[in-house]
Amino acid sequence: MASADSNSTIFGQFLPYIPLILTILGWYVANTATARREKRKEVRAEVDACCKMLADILKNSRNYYTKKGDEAEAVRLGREMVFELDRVMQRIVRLEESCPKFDVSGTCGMLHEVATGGDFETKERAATEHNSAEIMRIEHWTHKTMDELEQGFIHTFR
Amino acid sequence: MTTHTIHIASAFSQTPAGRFIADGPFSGELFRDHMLVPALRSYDEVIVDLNGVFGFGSSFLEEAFGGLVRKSFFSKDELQKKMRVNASLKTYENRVNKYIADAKPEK
Repeated sequence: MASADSNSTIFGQFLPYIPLILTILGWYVANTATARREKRKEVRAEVDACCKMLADILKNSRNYYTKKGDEAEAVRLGREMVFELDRVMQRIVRLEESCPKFDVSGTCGMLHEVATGGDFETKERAATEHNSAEIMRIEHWTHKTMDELEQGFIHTFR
Repeated sequence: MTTHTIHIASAFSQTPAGRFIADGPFSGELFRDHMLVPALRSYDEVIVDLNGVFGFGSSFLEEAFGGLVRKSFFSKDELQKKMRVNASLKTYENRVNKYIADAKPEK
């Protein structure tokens, strides 16, 4: 009987604080949800920006490899490819640092290899067809990089 | 022990491009023959700093670093002991190590 009285007294002491506790709890839940929503929006924008850059790299690669190595336009496109690949790799590394479930660097490195390896930026390079092995390989690794970016987003926010 | 650092962006070019000397003024072959090989012959350890460059083509990296083994300037073991690559973008560092590992001396 004494114990029941003491419990109700303790409860009575806490009763005035319950609205405050619920407010703090509600604020915490709302704040966490807002922060998560904001981060999701930021990461989505970053994934979209990387995918757009990758699409541009693929477009430039197609134009580059269908021109001969000594053409002025090919030299310009080659420099653009190198610059854009460097930028997209840096953005992907930053994305991986802020969201550890992204694992795209290795695949993007392969894209860098197939797009700028071999006789890239050499004057003897011959022009290829749109369906050549070089362009198909670049397409494959571009798709794979984009897919892994999407997978990283899904794994981070599901 | 003597150590030398080659900062490509300031000592060679911020826009290195091309594989062979005929491909442009800042090619992988030129970098290898005129900067990397002399440094590796003169110093006990050479650090190659890739930071500050506006991107590398794989063809440049392969010719500059894989070419050290392919053209028999140095063995893979010697390079492992003497050369270190420093890059904020680890992709480049990994690729350089892979080019050296995959290179076979030409006969």
